[in-house]
Amino acid sequence: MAGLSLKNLGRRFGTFEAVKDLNLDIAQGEFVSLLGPSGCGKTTTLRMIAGFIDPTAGTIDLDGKILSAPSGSLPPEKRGMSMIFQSYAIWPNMTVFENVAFGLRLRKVPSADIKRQVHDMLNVVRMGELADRYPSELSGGQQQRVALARAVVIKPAVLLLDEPLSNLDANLREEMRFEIRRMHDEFKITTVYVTHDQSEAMVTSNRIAVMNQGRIEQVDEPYKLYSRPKTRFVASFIGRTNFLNGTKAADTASFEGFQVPLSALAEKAPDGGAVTISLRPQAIRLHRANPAVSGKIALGGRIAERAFLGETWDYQFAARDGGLTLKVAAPPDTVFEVGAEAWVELDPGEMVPIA
Amino acid sequence: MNVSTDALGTTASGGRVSRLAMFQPVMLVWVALAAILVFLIVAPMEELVVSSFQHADTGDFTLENYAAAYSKPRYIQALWNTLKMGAAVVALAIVFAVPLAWAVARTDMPGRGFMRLAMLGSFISPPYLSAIGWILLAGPNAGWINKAWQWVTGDPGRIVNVFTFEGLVFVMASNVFFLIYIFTHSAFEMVNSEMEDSANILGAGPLRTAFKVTFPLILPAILGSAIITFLISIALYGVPALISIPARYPVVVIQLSEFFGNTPIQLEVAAAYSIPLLLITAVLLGLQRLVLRRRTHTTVTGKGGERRIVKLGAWRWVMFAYAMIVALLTLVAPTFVLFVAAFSKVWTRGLEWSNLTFRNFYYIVFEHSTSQQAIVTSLTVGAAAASVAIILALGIAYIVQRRLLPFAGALSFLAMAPFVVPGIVLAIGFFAAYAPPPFALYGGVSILILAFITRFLPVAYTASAAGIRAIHPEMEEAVRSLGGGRLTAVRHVVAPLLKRTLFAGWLLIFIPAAQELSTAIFLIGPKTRLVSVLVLDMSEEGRYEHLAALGCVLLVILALLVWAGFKIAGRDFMLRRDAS
Amino acid sequence: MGMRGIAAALAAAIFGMGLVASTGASAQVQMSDGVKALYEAAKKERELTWVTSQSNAEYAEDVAKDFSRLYPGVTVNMIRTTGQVQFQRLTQEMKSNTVSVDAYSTYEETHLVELKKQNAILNFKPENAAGLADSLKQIAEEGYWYPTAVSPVAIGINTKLVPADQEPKSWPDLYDPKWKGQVAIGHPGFSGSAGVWVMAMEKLYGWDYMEKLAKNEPQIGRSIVDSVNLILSGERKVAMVPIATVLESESKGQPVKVIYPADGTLVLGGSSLIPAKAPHPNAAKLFMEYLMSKEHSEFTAGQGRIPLRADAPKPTLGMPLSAYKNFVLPTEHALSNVNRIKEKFRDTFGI
Repeated sequence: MAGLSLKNLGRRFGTFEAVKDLNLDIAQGEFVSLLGPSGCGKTTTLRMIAGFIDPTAGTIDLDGKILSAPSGSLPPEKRGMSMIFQSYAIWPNMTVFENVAFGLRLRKVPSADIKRQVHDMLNVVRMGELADRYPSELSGGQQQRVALARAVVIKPAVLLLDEPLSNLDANLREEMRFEIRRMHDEFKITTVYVTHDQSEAMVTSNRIAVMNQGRIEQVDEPYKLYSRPKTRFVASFIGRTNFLNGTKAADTASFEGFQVPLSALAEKAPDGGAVTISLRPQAIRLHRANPAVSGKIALGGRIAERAFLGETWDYQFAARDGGLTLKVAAPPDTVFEVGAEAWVELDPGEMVPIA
Repeated sequence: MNVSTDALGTTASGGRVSRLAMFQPVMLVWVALAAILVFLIVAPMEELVVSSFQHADTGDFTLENYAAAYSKPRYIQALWNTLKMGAAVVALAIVFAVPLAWAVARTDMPGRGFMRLAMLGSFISPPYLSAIGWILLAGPNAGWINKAWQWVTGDPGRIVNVFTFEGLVFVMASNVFFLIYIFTHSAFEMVNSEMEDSANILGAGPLRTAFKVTFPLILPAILGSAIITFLISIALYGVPALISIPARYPVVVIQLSEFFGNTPIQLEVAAAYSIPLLLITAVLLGLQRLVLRRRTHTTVTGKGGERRIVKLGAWRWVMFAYAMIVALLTLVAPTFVLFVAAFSKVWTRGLEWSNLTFRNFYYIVFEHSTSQQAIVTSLTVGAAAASVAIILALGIAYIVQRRLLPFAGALSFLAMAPFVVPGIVLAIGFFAAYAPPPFALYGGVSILILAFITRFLPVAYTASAAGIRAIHPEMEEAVRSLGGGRLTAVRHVVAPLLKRTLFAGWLLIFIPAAQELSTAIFLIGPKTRLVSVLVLDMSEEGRYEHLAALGCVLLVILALLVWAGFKIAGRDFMLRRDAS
Repeated sequence: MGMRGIAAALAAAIFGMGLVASTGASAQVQMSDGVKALYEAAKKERELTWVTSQSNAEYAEDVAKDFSRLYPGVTVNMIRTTGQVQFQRLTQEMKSNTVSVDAYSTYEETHLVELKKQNAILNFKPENAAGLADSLKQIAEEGYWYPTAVSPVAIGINTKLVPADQEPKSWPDLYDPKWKGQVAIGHPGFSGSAGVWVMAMEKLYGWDYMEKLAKNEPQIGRSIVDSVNLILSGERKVAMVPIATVLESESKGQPVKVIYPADGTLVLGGSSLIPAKAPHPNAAKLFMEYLMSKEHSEFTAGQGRIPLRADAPKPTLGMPLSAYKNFVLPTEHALSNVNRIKEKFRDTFGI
């Protein structure tokens, strides 16, 4: 198939398994993020794709050709990929132009073409004016644009980005996310993007692979990942959530203080007697009286704690019967005092059973 | 629109990556480097140890060499004398160096710029020239100081005599103390003022702070450099050859040259006799390692803070006087005397118009074919050794720092190993390994260059490793991800970025290599001439005016090169130091 | 004669003199048939390498030039080094079969004997050896090495610092307590000449001589030339010295003087040989003939050094060989005692 394919990929460092049995197919032109906390194996995976690290199990192939296998790997320079690094890695001994032209020169592109292509690319990243500057004369954001131009100008088979925005300040980071997305939309280069920042991944990616302890927990579109997390880890890593533990009978699930028909849940519950569901604070509505909406569940209780975050209220709701407490997010105009009586309205369709 | 992997000339099909595509030339480089290091370091050292157990004629195993080497109380005495001398030299060097380092790094003492320059001068000026300067100054009867004393007071007695234990220690210390100065100076620069401030806030006065906070923080630097200084001074050949023989204070290097001077050469006995020197060095360097590990610990916490200058008030002039006296005694006076002698018809007549002549320089530069040849050879050997050592060290440091290949640690260990070997012992090892056939290198320039490369490899390695450490690996990975091989990365990125560091490292090797005597003394052949050895020969013949002129020519050439180094590599290239 | 005429005559004179100097020189040599044949063969070899420790580099350079002046077409690559280094070098070259030395001149008899033992000497009997002074003939080892230099060792003094009535007269005067801290000698561990001197003193006065001398705290130099410098500079007042250097300094008006000890001047003989595998044997043989020739003796005398031949003129400085009340130490004695003497000296003087 066309595209990048990681099959049963694994990497050990001594006794430590950094990446375990990882499978991922990335279609040609797709933008996929590897998202996870530090130490989850995402950078190792990226560096295996780049060829800097050899796998100890499984294979990596591109358009059906094997690049990496435990028996040996193609060195990075022969993969036709390019990579953007956390440190930018702009060569300080070369000007902006020379940096961007480097890959083309290695490919023995005629110098007139190099000149044209580099200038076009620098204009795309809005660095056309600064072609003759040395890196030490550039800001962090400008260096990042040079890195981007340098990596994209060679039209790589795969573009790899390793936490490229982590050294930038918050405003620039937001701007660069869209820049990267825009570049992808323009050139449609197959892209693998490593980050620990979920919003970065969400803005840029077609799909996100959430990694934890060397494994992929879930690969999905950003919205699906949020609304339909498959594992406890994904549910808590992407946004905030409430976990409710219950037991499963023939066709209902029982939780503290309420019951839900299994068929009403967002997804089919996994097998076994116990069931855990994830319920986003945003999916819970807060009322002053029992809302009594059919098909929804209403629970009475009181507000235990609150915090105002500007865009939302963050409430801690304690149910009257049973020990259930829930995090609830409410719009700024929904004001409850601490200790006030309240009702929550839960939608079974928002309850996602997780593994 | 995507460029496929085929565009870069490789295809991999089926289940495996093709062998050829996987091949990386670094592997060959590793093998080559390992072979070179074995040739340069392992073989001579192995030969040294082995021959110390070999019968001179039959080659059978024997302990006779050891018996011969330690058969006489005089031989043991020389060992003991050497240790005594080393300890005294270190003590005096600390007295010279530490107050100066503190004053230059941390106070408002006037003349700090001059002191930096003086330290540079100390680095350029070889010990044997300074020893000759002091022989002219403090010879017991004809030395200028004694003559001046007799002239002023009318007293026929003498006040100084360089040909004594004290004279030996003093001349040694004035030539090695700048090492302690450099280490201590950087340690003082590392100590954060905030640490001293916090002691002040808790109620400690400036003196208490200095003794309770500042000095303990730099103590490891002092100890570490003191150990190195000790090792350097016990292995130095020139100063003892010039001073300790007339002073009748036998030391190890003189005893070694005696074994070498017998007919036939008692190489095996010399090898046996040099083993304790090797052991002492290894033990002390182990100790220094321990000390430095602690030092790193302290300096890391001292990083980043600002450093305030201590205002000395009236004391700054006291400090200034001290600094000037040290500079005068260790550098200015002997160098001045050397220059005066170089411009004199007869050096004992001193500064007189009628005594002035340029004849000595004319003779050295244009007439005396041996010294022309010696200047050229010294500079060539120095340059060749420095260049090869830097290239070699760069290769090793690169492989080690980038963890390119398994067992890279072995390479770095080997590259640093010559540090443990005193120059004169190294020379014996080289002689044992490469003078006889099949190599038969004795007498040529090549054996000198090889020995010098080995001798200065640790300096080169330290400089290269520090340089490479400063280059983020991603700089090279960027090249590779764009389709350049590792060698392309080295050529286009690593080498240009290292240029300045490497040039500084090159100078740091070239300058001592162009004046090296201890390693050269046993390896020099009749056709090879080095300035250092020629100076010693000329001193034997007592031709001090010619010798002084030759020394001055060497000093001027080296000073010009250092000046160029300043221009190219920046002012602080010499003071940069990295211990591991 | 007008101005032009004078100038032309001057030019002719200068030109003519030059002509005489350059072409007449080789014509002046009286060559025997044997030497003539050697010269012809040497011209084919064109050059030779001469390694010497018998004099300083300047004088050796002059000798090499004089040879080439007499025998145009044969150049000498002179290498001046110490006795120890030249020996090491030659033995190493022999081991690796890359001998580059053609003529080898040294004062170190131990080396000569060692080389003979190793069959490393080309067998050659120079015809000019017959003309050597009789006292020197005993130094030669027929067919192996022949004397090519002598170096008398005597006492040198600084005339400014030593009043005429205080001058030392014989060797034992050196340990007179009035010279305490004012004597200079050489170290036998570094200087072969010093070694022979120590043996001679031992032979004459027993080791007691050295014990007494040690009490005077002599300054010990690595070479005996060093002690000349020490008395020149006034660092020391009296010293054991090679006379050639002192005579040279004295002739330049410096305040030094040679005293020929009443109990004898020690005359050291230095020899030359041709290594067995010398690459230019004929040139080397010619050079050996030259070193023992009348021409060379005349050159030597003219340079103020002592000529070796009986028929040589008086040297311009000092005395001819025959005038010395001298003693020459037998080779066997030197050989069997040299290492013992070094050790004993070190024990006595502590260095």
